Amino acid sequence: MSTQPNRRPTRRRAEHLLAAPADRRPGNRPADEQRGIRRPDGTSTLAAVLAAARRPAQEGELRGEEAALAAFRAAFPHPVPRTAPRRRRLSMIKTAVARLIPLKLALAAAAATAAAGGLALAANAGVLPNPVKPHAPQGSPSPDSSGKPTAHPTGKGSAPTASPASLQGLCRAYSAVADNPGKALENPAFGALLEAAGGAANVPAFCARQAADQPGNAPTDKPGGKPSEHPTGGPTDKPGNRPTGKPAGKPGSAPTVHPTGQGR
Amino acid sequence: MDDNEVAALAGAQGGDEDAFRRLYRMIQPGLLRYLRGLIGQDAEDVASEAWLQIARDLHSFRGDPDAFRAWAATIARHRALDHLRRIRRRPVVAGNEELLAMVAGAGDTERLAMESLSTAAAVDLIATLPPDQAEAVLLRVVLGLDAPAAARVMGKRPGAVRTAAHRGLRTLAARLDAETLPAPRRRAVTLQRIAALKEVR
Repeated sequence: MSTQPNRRPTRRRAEHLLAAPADRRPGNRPADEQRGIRRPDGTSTLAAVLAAARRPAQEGELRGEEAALAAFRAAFPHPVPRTAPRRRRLSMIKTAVARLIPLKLALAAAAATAAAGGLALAANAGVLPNPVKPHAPQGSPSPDSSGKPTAHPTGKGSAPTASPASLQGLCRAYSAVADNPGKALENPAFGALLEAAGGAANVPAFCARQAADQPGNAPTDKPGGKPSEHPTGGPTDKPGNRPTGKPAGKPGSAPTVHPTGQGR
Repeated sequence: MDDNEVAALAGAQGGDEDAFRRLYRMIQPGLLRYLRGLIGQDAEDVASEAWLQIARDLHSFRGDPDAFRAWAATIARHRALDHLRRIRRRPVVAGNEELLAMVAGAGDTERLAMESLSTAAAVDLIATLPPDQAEAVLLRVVLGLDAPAAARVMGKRPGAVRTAAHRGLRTLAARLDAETLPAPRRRAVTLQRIAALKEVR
């Protein structure tokens, strides 16, 4: 077909050029491809172009990493600590400090976890806890213990997964995915929020109540940032005082920022 | 596919942030370059949109790292099509005559030029090909998909994708070898391009 037989890369050579570097057979690679010397058929220059297209990450290509991580956190609000279970309390504290809730609350939560089996935490969130939970819960900011990728603590099963910290986090994440809130709620990661709110339609109102419960906490201020100091939130602090999550002690406060993120 | 990829994918699906970071660093460069080939300089924005969806749907993905790359490419492709429909105007991507001059000249300067050829410029060069050839080459070269996986992303038969990729390489080689430069090829990002990308469905 071609009047110059060597002018175009053959099919075999084309496959070789297209294959991932690790898949190439070592004997097949022309040495001058490395030196960038142009052969009459142009293929070594072509190889150099392809090699340039394959280089490792270049300057600026990873700029979107933090944004992607924020999306990941919104989808996976219950991070997996990498420590052994007996050190869960410490990792909970570290995780909480690094992420969402102030140290005071984290310490209180850790203490409550050990002492009260998580009931106080759940009560604080305004969610009626599952009364049958004698041992330390799986569902406060610790992971699904089975470690399976699909097994999110969605509130099914016996673990009271809705600790106030995680619900806050979910509300924040919900507002962070505000561009498509309907679809976001289909993500099983939001299951605990749906259950606590009593349905998708109630999520905006529920999150608004959450924000009212914790005055000074502006959910859309900094997605993933720490909320401001939590005046009455420690579970050791009168856990019986908040039966259903209605605002306590701050009658005049209303959230100044709309937590559902509509119109963002 | 190596063990690092397997571990990163599994960890990310389990909610491990560090694993997700590693996964991102493995996948994003290729994804970005593929998108650059499809839509040009808005690639970074569209890549961010793609990662939003990747993160959301990560929990439901099933497969090995190779399949994950193809899945991510498919998501990116849909976002790219949406983007092209949204912009509805005709931004013209500059012809690459300078680029071709850099790589296709005669003499000693060309080796220097090749060494300084940026990754983005290399992708732009590939993107001067007809859309399906450019896409076939990019999916294989920057995303490391094999022909069957690339075919699934593009919605074509593997044989057709193989042919498109080979033709693309032949065309590129010819251009790089040309002593007289071809007329500058202005790749208009138009609805025609959308149609070209869509026709494969």
